[in-house]
Amino acid sequence: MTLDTRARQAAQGINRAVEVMEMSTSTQEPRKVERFDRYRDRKQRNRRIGAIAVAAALTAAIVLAAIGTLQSGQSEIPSVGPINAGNVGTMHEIAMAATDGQAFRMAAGDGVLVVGTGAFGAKTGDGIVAYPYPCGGTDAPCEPLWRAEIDDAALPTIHAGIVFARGLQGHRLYAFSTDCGNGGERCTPLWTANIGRATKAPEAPFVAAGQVFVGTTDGVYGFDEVCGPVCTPGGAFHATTSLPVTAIAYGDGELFVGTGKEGPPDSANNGSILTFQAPCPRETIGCGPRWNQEVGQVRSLTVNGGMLFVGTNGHTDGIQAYPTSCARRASCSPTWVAATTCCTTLTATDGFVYAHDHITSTYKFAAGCGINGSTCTPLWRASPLGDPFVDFSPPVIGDGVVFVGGADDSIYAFPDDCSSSCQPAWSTYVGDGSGDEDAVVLDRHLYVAAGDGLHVYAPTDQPEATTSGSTDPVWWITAGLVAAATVGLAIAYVRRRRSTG
Amino acid sequence: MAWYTEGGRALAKRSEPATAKSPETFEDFYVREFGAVVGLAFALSGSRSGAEDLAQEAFLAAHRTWERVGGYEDPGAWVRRVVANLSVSAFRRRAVEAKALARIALGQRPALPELSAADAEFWSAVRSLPRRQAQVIALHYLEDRPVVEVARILGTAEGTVKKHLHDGRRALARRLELEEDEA
Repeated sequence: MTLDTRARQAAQGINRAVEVMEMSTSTQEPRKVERFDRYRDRKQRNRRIGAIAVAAALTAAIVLAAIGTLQSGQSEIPSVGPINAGNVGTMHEIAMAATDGQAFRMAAGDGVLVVGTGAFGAKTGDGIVAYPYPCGGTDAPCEPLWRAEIDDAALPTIHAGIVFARGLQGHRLYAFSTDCGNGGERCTPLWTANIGRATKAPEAPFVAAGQVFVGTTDGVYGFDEVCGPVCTPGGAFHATTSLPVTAIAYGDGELFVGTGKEGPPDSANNGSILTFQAPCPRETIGCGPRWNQEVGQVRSLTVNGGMLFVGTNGHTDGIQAYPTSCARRASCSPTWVAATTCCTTLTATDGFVYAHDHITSTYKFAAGCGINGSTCTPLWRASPLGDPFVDFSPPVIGDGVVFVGGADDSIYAFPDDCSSSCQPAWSTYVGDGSGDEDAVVLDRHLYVAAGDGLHVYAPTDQPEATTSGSTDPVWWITAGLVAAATVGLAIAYVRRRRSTG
Repeated sequence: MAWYTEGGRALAKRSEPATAKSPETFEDFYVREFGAVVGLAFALSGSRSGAEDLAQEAFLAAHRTWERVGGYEDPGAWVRRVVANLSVSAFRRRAVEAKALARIALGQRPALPELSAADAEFWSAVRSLPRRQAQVIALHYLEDRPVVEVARILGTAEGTVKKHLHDGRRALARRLELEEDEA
């Protein structure tokens, strides 16, 4: 067959596919245009929200800056004490560090904050950047300690002085020392290992039982944390799965592995939980899988308090809770299930489970909310935040505060003791252009990986003024004028959009 | 929206407003062109779920400036250039795909059906080409457009398109182990 013949056949294949799609929705022209109208309205609504959020954030920043100057005359913004429900409303940006690629995922520990970045089509930008931790405000400046390139958008994790990272669809696992440098220099890995092809699932390498595990399209690889310059091909542990691995968790000596077919979310049973004994030498027979339970496409796994919590792409059973003892049984039923919309990510703490789903609703459940497979209702549920989305980071739990990313490129904080209809205690627009995950970690500061880099937020927690600040009314007048102008511009923008929309 | 502005300006220079004919309404333009533009987005992105959103994004760009774009001799060329640029941006594609997947999960709309293995292999090979070659090959074969039209859509010289087409065809033939036709 010649190239031209093959090309024209392939072109017909696409044209047929588009025809089938159009016929399966509607061939009537008005309906077709309605689909566009809905798309346009959604985008315009998101732009309005973004414009108003920017205006509000700028206004708040200006007013806070003016108040800070008036009260104490200090040039540095204090950032003392942890973020909690009492001060979260005063959070403001204290530092921002631009990254070469799109900041994507992050990890913190052992004195470093590591941001994984992705080129996503640009020539460079796949890699990790390490910053001092904590940084921003009165702590060390958020300037890179070291950086390293890897083979795709980076998903890092930190354990025992080592930064492990893999690319989103990369082929290698990388290990770097956390103290690899301190002047922003390029770092070479302690070791690397071939892993075939990593899955699309945005899950960082998982460390447990002295090994670091990575999910791939055909199974799980485990490597000793301390490896040679080049690790054993195939890893110290390797378990084959029939579907790509999407999530990994560990508890009670068992490795829990979630799988799911790649592609559009599907509520059909095309994903499972499998368990393996870990650590388990690769030559050993009988490591598993011991338990193989169909649960639907797995999006997230976490173990806490003797329970395994599974976030799936399903709807009526978006969350499933099992005792970890299921790992040693042939079959097992869920202790409870809960309805979320799809693509649910989970975080579990002692006694509670927090969930985030693809319509960006946030839920809090009691970990023991049901028995014998009953359906649980959440303690509270936060309102949807923007467009549907799939790849969100799980909720981050602070001291009485729950942080989640919204599809409108904003970060939201909810009080942990929210009522049934929960409203955010704080939110901020992080920035346009990410259109992707908003990863957060928490200490005295809130760190956010956004499209343009690392953003750091802290509560004001202003100490009592020890010196009387300036009472110069020029400050107030200037701040008021700038704030009014900002809000005016945002309103004008929205009105213009409406009139031209 | 810097990702299409530059291309839009260049195309505007080449496509002077057609004063003789009465401008088409956006709705008519959308209905006529939507399917073909989805097909182009599908070919270049490989995303069954995100192709429609990429096309919608391109049409939205056209809608915002329809007063100007609608006056061009060929607004379809303008919207194709936008979708070609969007489709080869991996970051944009990933963001759009993630949102589209979510709407599919909600049952709000179906994904494009899967291609046959042979067709999927062909377009996968096209996407592995350098981005300009992939755009030229897709526009040439998918819409059966001659070199002069491909050049107009991409805002580049005919000679450049010929070179990309030649190089792309040669690379494809080698990868797919096919005989290359006489040019």
